[in-house]
Amino acid sequence: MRVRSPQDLVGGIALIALAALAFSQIGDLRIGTASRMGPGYFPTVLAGLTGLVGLVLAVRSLVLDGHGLESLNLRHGLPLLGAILVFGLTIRPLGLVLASALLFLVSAFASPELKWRETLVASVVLIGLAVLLFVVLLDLPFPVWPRM
Amino acid sequence: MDSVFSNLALGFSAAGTPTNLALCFIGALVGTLIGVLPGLGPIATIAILLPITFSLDPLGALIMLAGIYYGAQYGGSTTAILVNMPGETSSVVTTLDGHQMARQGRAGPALAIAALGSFFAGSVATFLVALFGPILASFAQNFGPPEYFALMLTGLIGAIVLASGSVLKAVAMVIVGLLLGCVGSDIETGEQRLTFGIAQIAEGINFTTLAVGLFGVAEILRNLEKTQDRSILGAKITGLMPTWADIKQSIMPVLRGTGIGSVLGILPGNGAVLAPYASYTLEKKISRTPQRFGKGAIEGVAGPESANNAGAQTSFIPLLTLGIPPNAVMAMMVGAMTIQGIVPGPTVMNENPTLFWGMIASMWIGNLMLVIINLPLVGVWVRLLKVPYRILFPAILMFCCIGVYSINSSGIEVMLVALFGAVGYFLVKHGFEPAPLLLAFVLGPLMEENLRRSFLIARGDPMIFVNRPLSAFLLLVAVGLLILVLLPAIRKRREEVFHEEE
Repeated sequence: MRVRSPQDLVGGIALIALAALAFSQIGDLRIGTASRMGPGYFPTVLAGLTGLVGLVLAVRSLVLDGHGLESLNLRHGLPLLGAILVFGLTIRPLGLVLASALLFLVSAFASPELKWRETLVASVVLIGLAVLLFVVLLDLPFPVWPRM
Repeated sequence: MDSVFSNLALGFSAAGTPTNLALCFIGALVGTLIGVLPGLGPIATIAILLPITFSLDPLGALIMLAGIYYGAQYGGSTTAILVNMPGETSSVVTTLDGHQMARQGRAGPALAIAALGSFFAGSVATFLVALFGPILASFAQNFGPPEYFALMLTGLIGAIVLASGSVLKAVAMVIVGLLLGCVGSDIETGEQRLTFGIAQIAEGINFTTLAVGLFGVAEILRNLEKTQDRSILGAKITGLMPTWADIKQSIMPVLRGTGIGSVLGILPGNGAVLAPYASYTLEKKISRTPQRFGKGAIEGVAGPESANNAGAQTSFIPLLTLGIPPNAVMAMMVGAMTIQGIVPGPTVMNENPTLFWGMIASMWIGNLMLVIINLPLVGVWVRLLKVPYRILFPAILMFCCIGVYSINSSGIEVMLVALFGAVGYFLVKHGFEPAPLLLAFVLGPLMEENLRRSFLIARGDPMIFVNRPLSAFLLLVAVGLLILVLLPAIRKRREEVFHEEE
């Protein structure tokens, strides 16, 4: 047996995994009957369908020719997602200015060509702009500096 | 007819206050600013800018959003013409002749005709919205739960039919979107569903978080891996205004494009996406010199751009009258309205006429702003396009994070963006198109509610959907669409159409 469409196979497996994850969460939600649906009815049907489509996709990938796998771009992806996580983790304790600075620092590693001086200038200007826009003009309740 | 004008007058007096005009102006400006950045389509642009409207009153917020929406659309066309990089499927057609015109040093006329054609189309379509909105809304009062359910199902099937790539994968996206829509507390019992015990999603996954992750972050990632081939035209843009001959050549294409776009935009299931293609094909077919197309024919810019804008505008009709978004961009608008405490639907017009008509008037004002902003500022957009991506992408990322944080002042919410960003990137890499997912996510809770009510009325008998003529008709349309897309001949043709895009 040969995999004719690796892209579809991985996609199908991901859908099956998602369905399993959903089923594990539905747990003991009451399903009810068609005339009186419980909270579990709709999710159960959808999770079932997700798994079914995933299965069809995976099986089809063994029969029909399709696309190969594209390489995942971890070199850019990891710093980019890392930058978001760092911002989310630090915005509360450290405030807008420092959290944004960390975001720029981490995301710089995703840059196609890194120029520290340029990054530094750009981040100072952009953080200033962000404070002006969101805190001064739009008056959103942001912690700007670390809470003492 | 008289009432249309008095209603429009009410709308213009509400939307025409200096504050609201300023909001519309700022919206159109920042919308274009972000929308012009290569690789960011309207969905991503609106998602990124949505949070800046949160602190406004409902009418102001919607007016600003309308500005952002049209700005994002037009920004996409600008990038398509100048850099040959369409930010969304609907501006793919514009690259064909628009970019060729730019290469011949006629970027100015191409941009001007795109703006003027869009303005004309937008004006006509705004009037159509005002005319047909009330009629459709009063018709919608006869809709019961089964009809709503059938209509949404038809819309989702339409989204599957029009998604590019594999049909099965589009089906998967719709189902996953519906499943994500289930997350949160149950509408009847309030029990927690699929929340993994995370408090931030106890009331459901936040729409902005999902959209920013799936579209904003995933698009940045995709752009980063493309080799930076943005050889933007070095030549100066001289002669912005089109010549008299240009205008004469464009009048009929603009009129035809407006007609095509207006009709296709009303259809459920994102008919608007077809409008530019239909217009381009028509112009090429009836042209006496079809060989000029693809080599810088101004008709190939004027027609599709008008059709695109007309379709974008009339797709507000199903949203405003039925409360059902026909495509992912309109789903964004639902998200924005819900945040403002407005539930879109037939009742808005009667309960809050100022808001309803103010919003319709703001569509026209938004279109006007575009002409005012874009023609003089073309030079600025060109310079913006020259800023290297290594500076742009952290800036976009920061605005995404700040925007999402501002919704609930929650850092966890920001971290969810990283999760959805990774998911969005995975989807694109494996041939799944995320737009149907977003639409299904918004429709999911509405569909579940209407399905439950329908079955409650019918005591569990599914025949209720067939016994009521209107819902039976809608379901028939859905089945018809499904059969259509599965027919081998059409399937092949569909693949060709979407293949041309790439």
